Amino acid sequence: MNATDDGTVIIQCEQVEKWFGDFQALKGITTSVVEGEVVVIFGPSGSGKSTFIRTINRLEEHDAGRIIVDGVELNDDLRNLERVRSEVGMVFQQFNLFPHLSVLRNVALGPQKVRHMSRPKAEALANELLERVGIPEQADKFPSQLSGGQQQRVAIARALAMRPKIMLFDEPTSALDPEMIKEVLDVMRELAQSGMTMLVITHEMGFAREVADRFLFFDEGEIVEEGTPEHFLPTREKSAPSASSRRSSSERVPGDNPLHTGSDSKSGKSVRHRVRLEALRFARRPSRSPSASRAGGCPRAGVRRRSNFGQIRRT
Amino acid sequence: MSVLSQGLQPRSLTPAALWRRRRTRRYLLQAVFLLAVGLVVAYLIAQALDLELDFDFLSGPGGFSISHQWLTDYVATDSRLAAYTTGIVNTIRLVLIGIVLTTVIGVLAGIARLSSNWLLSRLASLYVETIRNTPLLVQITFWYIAVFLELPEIVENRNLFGALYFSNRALALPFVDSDGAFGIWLIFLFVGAVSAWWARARLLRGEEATGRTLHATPVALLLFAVIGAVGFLATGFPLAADVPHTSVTPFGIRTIDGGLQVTPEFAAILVGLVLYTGAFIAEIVRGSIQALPRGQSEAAAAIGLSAYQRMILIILPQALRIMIPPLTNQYLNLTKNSSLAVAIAFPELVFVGTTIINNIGHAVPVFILIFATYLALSLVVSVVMNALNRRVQLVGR
Amino acid sequence: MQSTHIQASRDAGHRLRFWARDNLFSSRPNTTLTVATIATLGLVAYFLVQQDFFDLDFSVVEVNRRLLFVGRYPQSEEWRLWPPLWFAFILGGFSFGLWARLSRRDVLWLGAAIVFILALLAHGENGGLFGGAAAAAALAYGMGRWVRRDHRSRSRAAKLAALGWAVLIPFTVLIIVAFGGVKPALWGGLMLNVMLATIGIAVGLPLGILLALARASSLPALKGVATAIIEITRGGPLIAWLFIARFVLPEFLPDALNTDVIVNALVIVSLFTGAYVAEIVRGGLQSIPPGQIEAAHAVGLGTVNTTVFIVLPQALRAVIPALVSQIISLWKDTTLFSILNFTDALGGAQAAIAQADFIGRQKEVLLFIALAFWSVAFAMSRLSQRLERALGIGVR
Repeated sequence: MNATDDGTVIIQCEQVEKWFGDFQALKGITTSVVEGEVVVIFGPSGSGKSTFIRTINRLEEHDAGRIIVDGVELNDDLRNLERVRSEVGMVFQQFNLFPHLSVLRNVALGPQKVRHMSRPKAEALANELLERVGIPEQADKFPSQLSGGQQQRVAIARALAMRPKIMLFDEPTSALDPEMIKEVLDVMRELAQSGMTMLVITHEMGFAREVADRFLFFDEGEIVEEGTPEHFLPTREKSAPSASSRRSSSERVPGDNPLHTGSDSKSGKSVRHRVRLEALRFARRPSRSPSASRAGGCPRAGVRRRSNFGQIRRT
Repeated sequence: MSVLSQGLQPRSLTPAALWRRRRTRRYLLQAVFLLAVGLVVAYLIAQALDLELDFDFLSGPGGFSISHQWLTDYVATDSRLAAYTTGIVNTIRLVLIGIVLTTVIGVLAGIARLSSNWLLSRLASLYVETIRNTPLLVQITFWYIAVFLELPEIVENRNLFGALYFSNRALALPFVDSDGAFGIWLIFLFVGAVSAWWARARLLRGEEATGRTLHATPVALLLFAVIGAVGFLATGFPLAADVPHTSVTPFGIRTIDGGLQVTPEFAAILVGLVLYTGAFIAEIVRGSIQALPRGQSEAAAAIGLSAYQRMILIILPQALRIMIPPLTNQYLNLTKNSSLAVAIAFPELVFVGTTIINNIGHAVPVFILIFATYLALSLVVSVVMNALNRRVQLVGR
Repeated sequence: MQSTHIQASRDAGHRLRFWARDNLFSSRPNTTLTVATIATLGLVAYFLVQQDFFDLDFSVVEVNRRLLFVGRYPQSEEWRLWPPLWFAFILGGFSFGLWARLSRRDVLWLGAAIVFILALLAHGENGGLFGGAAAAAALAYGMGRWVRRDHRSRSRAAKLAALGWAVLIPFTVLIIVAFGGVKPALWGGLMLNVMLATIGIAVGLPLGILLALARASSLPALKGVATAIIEITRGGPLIAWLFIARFVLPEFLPDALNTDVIVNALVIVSLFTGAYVAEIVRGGLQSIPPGQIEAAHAVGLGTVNTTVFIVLPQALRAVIPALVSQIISLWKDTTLFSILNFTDALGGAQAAIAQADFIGRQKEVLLFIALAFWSVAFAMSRLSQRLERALGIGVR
């Protein structure tokens, strides 16, 4: 296999480009992911991060460059497509559960129809996975009868049912009420600890810091920055007093981080603590808006600027 | 330092085999499909070549007479094209009158279904539920042979108030009769309408400017009435009431003369179509009104509008927006359903077309003609309704 | 004791008065409306009485009930109709028990219909056979209710019922036609209408789904051909199509397929229904959010599996009311076959009216036919409303 010093490379992207009409969504993305790695992707909306992970299971076809997933190149070959789709699981922002099927059938459908498992076997697997995501008692209900958090956990179970090698998460908690975010993040954390290769788009900084092996920052269709959690979001020794008052917010808010001005962390309002991804953008081009000057003044310690693929210059 | 230079060769780097490419399969599938369709079409064309496909027969004499005529004067020696045109005119007459009447009935029944008056709403739902679930053809047949043909013989001289005669030969309604000066009077009316419109606009502007009430609408109506009346006098009473009356011919046969005469065939198909389509329109109207938020009616009541004003000023204009697309569908249905008149021998276009086929064949060209005609009629209905729809949506937003 | 009785009746009177005040005389316009409506009704009733409209004699229906129900179908072969009828009744009762529940009002209506048919239409042997079928249906309903208690036996029974519905039409046609049976040309009366409608929808529904899928396809060739077929078919009225089946189609078909005008007409009716179904289903397909298809692809389902297991079930469920309307519409439109001189129910009615014994009895015959069509159509529309409510679960 293709081994590097870090482990086995499972996803390789080289100069991946994607166009929507005249708009270029991806401008030559080059990166690779090794097996068992958890990669968290940030970026403002419209930065191409969602398009990028959708090219990895070919929900979007890339227009140029190459993507190789688990040794299979994504191209016009239908057999490759089948192989990759069944080895890459995906979780969507809007859950996208099948509303006409029971929770159990939602999970069991893939193994049954794609892996040609017998129905009892597929349903046994589904029950096992529902147990793993913590909702075995909901198996016979329909998606519309579940809360958002439960639905998203079913969606994770559904993706896992294909025994994927890679899991893609496209903002899995963005459509959830604050009190439901934790239950989904717990499942994802457990998954990350079990050694699953994961690509996660999320705004949950606390979670990201905790599980991520690597960050990618997208802007305007490019990876603008890349780094490790220590570099980006150094753990704060003492937790903010307000953060403990709301569980969900403590998950979201990593406390003090280099992207926020001191005045924000002083105010104790958890909402203000959220990392504004726009701030990242302004950090690059300080002339854009008044807030940029604040963000621009942040300490930039630990940020690795990309020079070329695979080579990271430490600052 | 590319990925590949690091020696990370993917398992399948060679381009996919041709037959496994998605594009190949798409083209292949379409090619096979088109081939199959092509074969069927080729077969049909081969069969059709044996048939008479030209339209020359249309210039030959029709050889049959048409019982119902309106704005046309076709006689048996005229061309078949003239016969067919008569059929088209009959269809248009049926559809035009039908659409107007069915809209009135449908809107009234739809509103009545929502009435707080128990009797009225029950009556309206009885109407809708019976008519909607019964075949139109059975209804038309019923109106024809169980109602209009069962009316008294003409000799019995049955009438209401001496003005409305009904017999199994014709219904005669009072109407108006016009003479040559009628056209001139129409010009007067047009002038009256324009000046009334102008006066109203002026007065409304004045109202807005000064805040005084200038009675714009009554004044405009008055102006219109005065100009109309002056014109009526000036042209020497161009209109006269045309009350039907019966007379006896020298051979002792009673006939109905004058008035607006409607044959049983036309009456049956019209009543059938209007009541049937009206039931569907009633449901559309009801649905559209119910789709509006309750707050609209309550807000209108809160500013002191009466029930009637609420309906006319607030509810219907908004419901109209939801209503128009399904209403268009019903008008198209009515247009196509008018062809059921063949069952009672009312000479609309399908009846005339099949009569031509029965006489001399040429089925394929005749049906091409029939379908082209319906296509044209449907297009006209759609275009008019789409224009209306655009206007309503614009005004509404 | 007596005083409470009086009290109760006074209460009833009170309630009636309150009800009338609230619903008929709540305001001056309302009162005016009530009075005007009653006056109009009275006027119409007076007019109808004056015209002897209510002088009805239904013996024409009774004498001609064979004509109205089976047309010119030979009497010696009538036995062939009963097994399918029993089959359909039992299947209907069982399915209803499995998926729904009869309300008291349902029982009342069904009972009234059965009594009506037994008393007026099916006498003697036929009465026994019909009554037996009704009893069997009731029994099957009970069985359906009983089976549905257990989750497992319920799903097994559901499969059985689905299989039953799938074979019902082939079974019926086989019984009637095979082994020296009756050619479709001799089918008639209401039975012909039922056969036309069921076969029309059985062929038209799958055809319409295929056309809709083709029209929604990304392949231009499929899309183009499907659009052309749908639009041309919907362009003209059904009666024009039936005339085509009679005048034009025989010229085009090879002799082997050219057996019966009624078969040609059936093909055309199925195509016509298919085109309308296609437009309905297309609306359903458009209502499926793209996320559903993406999720199915992400799980690894291919195009066919995604369509069959994810897209179509949701699309069809979304358009059930419109589909039922289309079925009702087809059921009513089967009367158009009388224009082609088939002895369907309406054709039979016209034949009955023409009889010398029953001159002037058009009303009775036509009212009866109208009632027959109305009751089936009305029952279907109510069933669809219930189905909609029952399927509310699982729908987003």
